[in-house]
Amino acid sequence: MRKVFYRHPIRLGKACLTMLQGVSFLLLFLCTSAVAMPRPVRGRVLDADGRPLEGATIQVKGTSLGAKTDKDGSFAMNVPDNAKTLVISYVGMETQEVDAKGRSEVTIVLKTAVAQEQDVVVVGYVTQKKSLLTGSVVDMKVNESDREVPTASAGNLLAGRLSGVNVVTPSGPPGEVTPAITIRTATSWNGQPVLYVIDGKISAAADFNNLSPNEIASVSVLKDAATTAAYGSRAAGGVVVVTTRMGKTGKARVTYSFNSGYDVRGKNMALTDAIETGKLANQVNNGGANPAGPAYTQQDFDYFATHNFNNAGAGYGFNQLKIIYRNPFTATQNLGVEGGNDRIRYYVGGSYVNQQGFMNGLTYNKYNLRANITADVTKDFQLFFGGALNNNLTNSPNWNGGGLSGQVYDLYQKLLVWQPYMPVFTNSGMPVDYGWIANMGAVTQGQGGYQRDNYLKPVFTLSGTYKAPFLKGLSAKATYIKSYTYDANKVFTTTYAMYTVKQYTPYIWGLSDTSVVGTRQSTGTPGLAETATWGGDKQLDLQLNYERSFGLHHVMGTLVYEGYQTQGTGLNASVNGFPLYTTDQWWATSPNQNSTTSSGGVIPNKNVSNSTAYSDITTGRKSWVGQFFYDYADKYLAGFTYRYDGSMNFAPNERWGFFPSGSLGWILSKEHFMEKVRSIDLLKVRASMGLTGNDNVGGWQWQQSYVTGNNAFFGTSPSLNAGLTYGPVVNPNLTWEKSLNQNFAVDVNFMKHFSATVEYWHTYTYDILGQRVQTTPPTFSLTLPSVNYGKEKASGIDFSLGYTRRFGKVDFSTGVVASYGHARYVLRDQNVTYDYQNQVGGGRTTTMLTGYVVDHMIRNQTDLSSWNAANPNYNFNGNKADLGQFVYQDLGSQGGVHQKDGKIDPYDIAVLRKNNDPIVVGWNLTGEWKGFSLSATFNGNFHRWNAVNISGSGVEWNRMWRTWYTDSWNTTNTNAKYPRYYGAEVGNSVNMAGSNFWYAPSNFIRLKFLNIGYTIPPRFYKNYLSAIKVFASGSNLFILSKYNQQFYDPEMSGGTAFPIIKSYNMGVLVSL
Amino acid sequence: MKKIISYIAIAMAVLPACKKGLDFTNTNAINPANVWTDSSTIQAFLSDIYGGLMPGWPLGQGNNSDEGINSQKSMGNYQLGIISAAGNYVNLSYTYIDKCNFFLDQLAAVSANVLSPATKAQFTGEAKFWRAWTYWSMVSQLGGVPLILHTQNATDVASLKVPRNKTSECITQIVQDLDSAALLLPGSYTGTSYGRITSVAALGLKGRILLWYASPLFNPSNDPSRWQTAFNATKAAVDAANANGYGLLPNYRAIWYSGNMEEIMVNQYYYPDHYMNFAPIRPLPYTNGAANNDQPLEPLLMAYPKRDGSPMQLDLTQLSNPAYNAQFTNDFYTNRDDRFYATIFCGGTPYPTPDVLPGQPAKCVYWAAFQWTSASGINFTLPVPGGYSNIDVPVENGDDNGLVGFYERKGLDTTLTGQQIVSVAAGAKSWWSPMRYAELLMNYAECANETGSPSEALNVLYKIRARANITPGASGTYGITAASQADIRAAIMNERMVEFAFEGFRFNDLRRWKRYDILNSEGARHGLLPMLIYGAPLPSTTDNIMTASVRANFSMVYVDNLDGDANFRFNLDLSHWFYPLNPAQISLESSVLQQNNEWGGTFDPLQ
Repeated sequence: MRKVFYRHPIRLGKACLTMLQGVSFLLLFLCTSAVAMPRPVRGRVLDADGRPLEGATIQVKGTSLGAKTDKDGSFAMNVPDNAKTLVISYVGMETQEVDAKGRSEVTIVLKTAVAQEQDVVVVGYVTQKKSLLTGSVVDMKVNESDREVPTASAGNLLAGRLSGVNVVTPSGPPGEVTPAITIRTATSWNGQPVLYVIDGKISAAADFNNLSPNEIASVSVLKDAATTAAYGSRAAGGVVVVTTRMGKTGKARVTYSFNSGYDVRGKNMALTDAIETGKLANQVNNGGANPAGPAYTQQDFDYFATHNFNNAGAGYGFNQLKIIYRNPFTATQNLGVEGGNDRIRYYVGGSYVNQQGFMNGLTYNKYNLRANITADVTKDFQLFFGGALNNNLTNSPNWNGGGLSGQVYDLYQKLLVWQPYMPVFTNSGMPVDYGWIANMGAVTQGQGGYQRDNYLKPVFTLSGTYKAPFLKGLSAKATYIKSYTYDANKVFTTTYAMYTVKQYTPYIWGLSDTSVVGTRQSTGTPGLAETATWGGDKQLDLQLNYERSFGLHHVMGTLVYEGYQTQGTGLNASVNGFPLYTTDQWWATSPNQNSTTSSGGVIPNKNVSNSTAYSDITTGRKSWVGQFFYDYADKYLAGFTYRYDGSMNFAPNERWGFFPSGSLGWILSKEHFMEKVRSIDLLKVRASMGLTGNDNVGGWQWQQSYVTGNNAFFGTSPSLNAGLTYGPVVNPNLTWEKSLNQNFAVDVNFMKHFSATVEYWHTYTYDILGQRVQTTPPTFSLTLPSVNYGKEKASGIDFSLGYTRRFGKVDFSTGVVASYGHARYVLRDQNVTYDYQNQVGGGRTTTMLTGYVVDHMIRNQTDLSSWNAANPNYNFNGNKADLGQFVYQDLGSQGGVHQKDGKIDPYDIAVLRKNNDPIVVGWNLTGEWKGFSLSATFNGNFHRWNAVNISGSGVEWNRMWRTWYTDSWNTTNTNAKYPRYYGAEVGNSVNMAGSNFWYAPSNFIRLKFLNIGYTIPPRFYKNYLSAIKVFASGSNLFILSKYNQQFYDPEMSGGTAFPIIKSYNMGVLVSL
Repeated sequence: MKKIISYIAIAMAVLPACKKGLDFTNTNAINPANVWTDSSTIQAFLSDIYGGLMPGWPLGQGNNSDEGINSQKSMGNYQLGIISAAGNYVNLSYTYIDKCNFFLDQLAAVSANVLSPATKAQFTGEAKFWRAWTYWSMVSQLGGVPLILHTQNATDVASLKVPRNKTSECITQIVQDLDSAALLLPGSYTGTSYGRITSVAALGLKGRILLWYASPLFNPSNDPSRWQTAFNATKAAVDAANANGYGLLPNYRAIWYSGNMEEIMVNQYYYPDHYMNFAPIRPLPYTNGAANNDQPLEPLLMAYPKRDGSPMQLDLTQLSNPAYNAQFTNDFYTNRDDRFYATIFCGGTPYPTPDVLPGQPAKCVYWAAFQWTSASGINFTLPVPGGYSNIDVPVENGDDNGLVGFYERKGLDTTLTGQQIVSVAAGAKSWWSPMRYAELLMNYAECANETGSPSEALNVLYKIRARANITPGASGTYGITAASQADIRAAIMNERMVEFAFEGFRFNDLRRWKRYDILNSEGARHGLLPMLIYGAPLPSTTDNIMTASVRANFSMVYVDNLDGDANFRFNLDLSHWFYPLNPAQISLESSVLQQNNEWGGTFDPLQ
């Protein structure tokens, strides 16, 4: 087998070859180029250091003829007499073309490819040359500028970069809210979570977001079944495969970077100031007729107009949020060392992120450490050790016996709209009792105690690969991955005095010490509480690989056994009271089991939770995976992948499932007939089909059980009688949802600088788990178990276009990605009481929007009279038409039949939009010139409406949506754009009913990341360092959106929600 | 190549062996096999039913009728006459019917060595009571509902479709369950079983249900035989109660502060497992969280008779006469029966809890009252928007959002402060009675009056009033002058409003009598305000409105519309008496579930 000639293909490949060629003939009557008279050519392929390259491919351009080099780098082959050009390629090297006209001997020296990693992609359990891909994979290499963007969540890096991958910008405090990542369009109403695989370990979304960008080498996103079937029953939502940095052969390279910056909150919707709030409240409350909420008087308005509290501006009143707000701040330090020789390669790195949240006491510290060491222990045996550690420390002040973290969303909103007349502190800084359970000023000073969370997760990987010396191309690999998770949460609660101040009017409160009339203690019981959960998982992978070329035939295959087990347990305990000395340590807490209340009741001071959340839990899975790939002359490609999956989520006889996939590809540009098309550098078509599953349904639904129920209280000295009741009706046949996915794609590189990919995909999901709605009447109270019956289909298009070019000394590249998909229900039980509830058929997608349709607004008495005369029966769910109100269209559809009855009720709700799926776009830009670098990422959404959500300020004693004041109907502004605001006590059931009026297009384009860097010329420091780079970066710097101008950022959940954070960042990167 | 194939073959061969090892244990549930062989788990299944069905204090529900007001503009759409099937529906709810049926079916198979025959009989009786209770909660609102008496077979989906039974069939079944329960259950319990359902409760519920079934809501043609049946049942209930030691607790106020002879059913609140939170009815400065619900309206305030049993009357035209007003105010505060003071907290007296308000050295009088903001108010031209304001001494902030200066206080745990009521370190004790002896008596009186025994009806009213410390008077009639059937009926209506104020009876009684017109004729929600006479000094925190000299600085003012908005008037629909079945539930099984005829359907709840 030293030399392999194309005329002697071995048997294994022959069948496939014949089949493939047959297909090719049928498609395009070709592959007949080898008819010309052959002549011999021989030569050698070497690397830049003169070492021979084994396995390099030599191909006659425009034909399927080719050969591979042997271990001396030599090859010999016969080429057609008229052959002009040979194409020589090798993984990791730049492909070269040499003139072959009249030559019989050539020596080729290949250069190392600049972006070496670009050429291979992780596809499940194997790595594949990108050019040989038949499945749908998008990938990105994480480079230095990605590591410099201000984000603590790895997920943010993917935004706008990869077609078919949608990353929603989190609206929430960094470190607490992580970006939501979805791949293509979900095809199950149960949700199909994305599966994360980090260096071979099946992981959760949190594990991915907890990675530091510093330790990531590349991210592959597997989108179609050809690639995801390797993950079988958990792959229906797509798979994100992360590879961490493994180290490169060569001199040790040490990099250190420091960057720091501050965050600015984005825009909330406009809110009323104190005077506007008062005027609106008076208007809503009928002039504030006492004893309603007292009216604001001119005295109150004058007071606010002439006072500027805490620089909020005259007239604004007290800005509770601003008084305790600080701009968040982030500092990141990354250190990495990588290097190696021909025996050992290593990467050791660490990063530390320190974030200060928007209030005092709110901090987030994230530590990441990683050591990846690969050693070639013997010629045939390679050992890998990976150690990774993630530690997140979250601190927050305490209010009402709990930490702020997790409630920051609500709290932000609460403070934003807080009654504008209520001060936080007196002039001398004492917390004011503003009639609430706490004073937020005191809380942020830590007077209420704190909550601390410590999350620690080490992951260790040990793996050995043995290359079988007795069979070339065969290797075996065993990997054992063990992780430990520890999460401890400690809450320390103290109470403090709040000072009641004199109120000169209901809205003018005293601020001086002399106006203090009393004190009140904040709510909560002093004490300590601690929750700790710990657990871990272990994964064992046994893998057999085979890869070999036989002439132009190239086969690669792997067989894997994977076993996975996870376990966990925990404890939650608390003690109330500090009898002598208040400190955050257990020894100081009350030694008594119970204490007696003033009413004679007995309080247990000590409590241990009996929640099932702290039970010992063990679960596990087992799987068998196979992946096989074949290509002929790098031109005809085929792949087959399966996973045989066992999951404890199902009953023993439903536990195992088989998920196969197959794919084909054809690189047309390597065909003879394409040679003349000069502008096309690469043209490839590929198609795949396969089955994946979704087992994201809770465990034990198949097993009968009894659970704790309501308690009863009996006895002349009453005591608790614990209750017990039956669990849900079980479904012993519960199984996974299955998705049959097809993917068709064209990749084209053209005009030297452009590359484009268009993919069309279609997924049919069946056995979707759900309730059979129609089968249970309301007289049967038990919920019938969910059964696997539903069907959905979805399709979509992913598109990407790239352009890379060097203009003189400028390296420039840019890319656009866009994707769109929609899903429809094929079979879904529904209880259609009203026609609009029907989600199936009629072109309706899973994202359809429904609502009433506004006819017009009744602006004056004439309008009202004529409307009532024309529509004598009109009412909206019982409400007659009134001034300043919408009247709605009487669409009256019942069973598809229009029945106008003059009344507006749920029968009149219409489908406002059948399809509200967004077109997700991204645009990237990178450029380099003489040490200057720039990279920018934009992302955006089009073709989508949002429901306008202004309800966060829905009570008129708070700050309101300012438009209610400026542009809503009242007797003096009957031409307003918005209808009458009625006040919280009455409610606004007519005007605020979900209708087309309250939807608006939410298209946007956001500058997600921007990074500008400059590498200081090495001549100043080359004796000491190899590079110094300074950079400035930012995230979410601006958004272009009409919706944003009119209401608020369209990626926020509502107008008063925690806003999108803009970050400004500066840093320096030093390389040794 | 052969080697590869053999490796694959080996791998495939070991595969089936490796399918094992996924049998983990569910550590969060109880194995079914252990439940019905153990008396304590069997009892626990029944405890779950108790826990799910035993009613609690109906705080805030006075807002549904003319008892109380929670806040301005809190009148519900139903009360405003804004009704629709989509907005006012009642759901069929079979959660506890299914649990009772399952329990009864399982219990039948439990052997005597697991559960003694006596215990088994008692458990059966209790489950039958709760099944009847649950059916009645639906039938009282919707009329007949599908009768399901055994565990349903989830695997036979067709058998789950059960049509609505006639109302009469449901009543028959409910009565049958209650009769059976009455035979199986003891008349009272001691020790750790106190609080479980008794035979008296079963008979009491039967009387209550048959009274409803004889009332105009279900009996518009006034079929006398229904009244006779109801009379027999209510009499049997009273007799059984008497025989088992139940009776009127001499002190009305004390009913909710212990387990006692008045309570036929009882829900015991105690700390820490099951404590009551009275925050909703506390005035704002004395509470934590909720506040100010059930502030008494003028019709309720006026319904309490004077100490001599004569009605408290208000002549609006005379109110501007200072002498009349002074006399009225005097009577209003000082000359009422015990129930007034047990049910209503009057501003101007110390709030009956240990709270010390900020800035106060000690417990003081809470002045929830009002003052004129200008002299014009002296002319009593009401309403005067903005013409008066709260004084709320000693609260400095001048606004507690109280509307009338009166609050509900029935059953309030008077030992706790506002700080303690919601903190984990306290929580109120209370004995809530969803069925008490006085109700059994009043049900009996109503039936007696309708079946031609006015003297028996009047005797009940005398007993009820005597317990409230109303003086019998020379005639021994406790101030009751009614003699005709219609007048006695009216007297019973008033007495029920007073006796059971804020116990969840008023609105349901009005519906049972089909007398929403009483609310509609009241129009808006009226209030009475204690008002500081213009120019009089603010009271101090040691003054008390019960003191004549302090009271002299106040006059009573009538507010026609407490909601402050002319749109807020009782306007209940008089052609819809049963509620609609949820349309979304009908569409689940439209083949067997019919809508009520008042709502466009074909089901007649009167059959």
